[in-house]
Amino acid sequence: MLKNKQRLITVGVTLAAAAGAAHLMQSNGSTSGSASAPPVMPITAASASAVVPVSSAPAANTVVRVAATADPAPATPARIVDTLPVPPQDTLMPAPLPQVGTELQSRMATTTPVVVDPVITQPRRNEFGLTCGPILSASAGDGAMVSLTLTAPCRGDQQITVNHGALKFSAKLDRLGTYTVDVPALQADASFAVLFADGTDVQADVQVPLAADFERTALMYFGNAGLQIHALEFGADYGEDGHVWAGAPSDVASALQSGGGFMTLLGDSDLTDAMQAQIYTFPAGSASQGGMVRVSVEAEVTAYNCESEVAGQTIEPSLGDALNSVSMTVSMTVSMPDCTAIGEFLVLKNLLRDLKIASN
Amino acid sequence: MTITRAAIFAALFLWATITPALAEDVTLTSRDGSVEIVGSLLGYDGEFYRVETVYGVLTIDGSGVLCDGPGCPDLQGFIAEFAISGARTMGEVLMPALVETFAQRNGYSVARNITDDTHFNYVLTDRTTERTAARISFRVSSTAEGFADLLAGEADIVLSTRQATPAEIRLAKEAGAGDLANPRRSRIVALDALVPIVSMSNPLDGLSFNDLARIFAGELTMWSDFGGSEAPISLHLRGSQSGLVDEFKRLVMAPADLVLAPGVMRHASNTDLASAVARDPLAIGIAALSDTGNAKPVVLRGSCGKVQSADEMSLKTEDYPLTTPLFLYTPARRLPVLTREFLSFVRSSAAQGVVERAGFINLQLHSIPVDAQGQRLANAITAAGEETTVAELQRMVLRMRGTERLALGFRFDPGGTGLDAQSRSNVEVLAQQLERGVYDDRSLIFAGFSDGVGRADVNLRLAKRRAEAVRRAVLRAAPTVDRARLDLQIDAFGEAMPMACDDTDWGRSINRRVEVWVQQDKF
Repeated sequence: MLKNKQRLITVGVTLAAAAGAAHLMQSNGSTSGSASAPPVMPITAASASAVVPVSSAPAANTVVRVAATADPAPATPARIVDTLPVPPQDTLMPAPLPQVGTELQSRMATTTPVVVDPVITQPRRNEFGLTCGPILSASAGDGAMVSLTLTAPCRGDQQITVNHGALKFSAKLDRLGTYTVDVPALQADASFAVLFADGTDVQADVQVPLAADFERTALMYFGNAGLQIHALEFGADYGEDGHVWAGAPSDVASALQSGGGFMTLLGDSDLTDAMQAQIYTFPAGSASQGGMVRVSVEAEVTAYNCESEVAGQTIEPSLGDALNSVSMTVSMTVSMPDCTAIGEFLVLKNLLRDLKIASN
Repeated sequence: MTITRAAIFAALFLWATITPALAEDVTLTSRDGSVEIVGSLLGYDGEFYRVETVYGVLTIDGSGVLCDGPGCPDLQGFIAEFAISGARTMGEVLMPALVETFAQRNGYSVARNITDDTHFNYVLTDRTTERTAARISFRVSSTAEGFADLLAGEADIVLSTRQATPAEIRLAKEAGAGDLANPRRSRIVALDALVPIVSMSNPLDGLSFNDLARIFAGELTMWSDFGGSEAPISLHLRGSQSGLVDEFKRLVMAPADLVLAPGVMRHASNTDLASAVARDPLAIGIAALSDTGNAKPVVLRGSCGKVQSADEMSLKTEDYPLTTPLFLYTPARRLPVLTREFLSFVRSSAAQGVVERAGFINLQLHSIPVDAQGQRLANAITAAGEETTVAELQRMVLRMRGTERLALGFRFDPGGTGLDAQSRSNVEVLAQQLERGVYDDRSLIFAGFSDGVGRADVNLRLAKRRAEAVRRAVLRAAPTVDRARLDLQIDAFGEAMPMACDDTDWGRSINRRVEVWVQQDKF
């Protein structure tokens, strides 16, 4: 399935003219989408990000989609005509990215370099000479999970928010500005976006044809909310096989083998006031056993949350839609018991719906 | 309109008379200044004022008057507040799903504020104006407590898995909440049923009605009585306030003249009950069809061998004897506009889709072709004999040819000629369909049936009279229908096609029924 292997890669390119853009596409096509550095070229002041679909055959008429950027500054690239490469600047914090007009698409598609009056682009780089990007790539894997890889060498240690439809969670990049995560796809037509604190965003789309075979129910919350999803599959009791929760999350491989579900924990719990998410996945489309999976939410009463309100959101398939393909998001607050109950759990059996599984 | 008059409605209902003397805090003046009402404001629902005056409580159309005084409500910032209270069967999944879908379809965002599993509220916010439109509080306890909340003025919508009892009806009248027995005070939102369940590892798969009653009365106590091991049967039921337990007592225990054994394990919710029974091979419980969890449903068998299993068709047609319609009861007082919109939404086809996906049986009308009615015909042939002749059977089969049976049934209150609650709701459902022209230019046959007790010719006449009564009720409920395009026929087949055994009260009441058949060809 060639179509599924196709990966969409978002590339932050410094962009001013057709020649430079065409050159970049060719270099990306030949390196199967890794973040390798294109040839060194002179710097321009303006930059933009573009989504470049990379297929196994680097066709000359590759379509370049220009993604929206955060800063709607006019695109008036300063032209620097120079024959020699300029040494990389220390550009840990790149300037805000300008808006690129759609008319540039046709110019970027030009394959032959413009000889007369060449305008050559130069990607921003970090102190080690790596292109700043950011670049986000997404690929679908087993269990309708999507592997996201973010490369942002100029943004080491920064905090990001990953968005997938209604699903949101926060994470922190490593020192080199990379982050990888496996996210459950909530729909077949899955799009992902990573948002930085300065408003910059990168996007990636991927097709997950099997997403409909997986029942998913999610809970999002801030920081130390102490919330947990517990799934009890087919009559399992606490602590038994079939009790899936953060402490026994199972994984895609063993879930597919056993016919059970698995829990995905997303978001960095070390970050304060960051959004975290727990998603329970059940492979309903390939279930060999019918029955009920009880899904409950437990809120641990802690010194952080006692006598206060814990806020979050739930995401479940909408019952208002016959195809169950639309997610319904409901904001919620939980009023936690008083602080004499620290260490106890508030059990909410009806916050998330139980899953009725029909055997196939 | 050049002259706008204040529409004044005399108070239809008496409010609690022990109202303390309140300050006269509002003056409502008609726009032409000719009418002035002074009193203290009891409520404003976004459309109507309710004012305590020297004339008693008046309800006044807000569009016709100007309000002056310290008690006047903030007209722009009006928030519809109402409380929903009652049965867990309905309050856990079904009603929250309906509220959320109602919000989604009407452009509101939803926030759910939770105290615990049985106390929570929804805040609906208009997506465009970001104004709070409604606050809906839920108290999910039991049917009995829902009615108690209504009497105490703390509930605007009661969730009930049974009809109001005579005592509740009397108390509600005294409390000024209106006549709960009036069909306008209640509506059926979905169907559910009582189902005996056992653990998957229990070999029991069928049980007679009478044995079920004797098990729960403590007369049959060992599994060895049912071909199982020499082990005691453990009994599981919902709590004593549960409407489902009331229905179980009414439908199963009372006809057998038995009472519940003392050693029954009680559960707060259907989920807890189903989980407990699923884990215990020696347990039997009475669950709701909407949540049998990982336990195994047991079919009910009549002594003559007819089997009653609970499914969509048998619930809609009331062929399953333990069908429990789920009711919403509202007091006889004006509810906010948004509340009324919500109440009409729950019967809409959009809401009925939600009902089905939430695991309940909806009220959507569909039909079953004759080909899928093999079991019924087999019953008819088995029952044929001295009183039902072959010629009569052939007449029935010829009449059924080319028809489909509508998935709704009409049954009568035991001993009376009045339709039961689900059938009254079915009258409305069918009348609506007729008004929409769904059955224009097609023949509908109202087919009356009876039980097999007594003389066949008398039964046939009774069956015909019931069919006529149902047709009359449907036409009365569809005043705007185009009668020229309707063809509503009456026929009766007496005891020709029994659905249950005639040796019990419930079996006979299942057999006394009116079915509706649709002719597939245009007439």
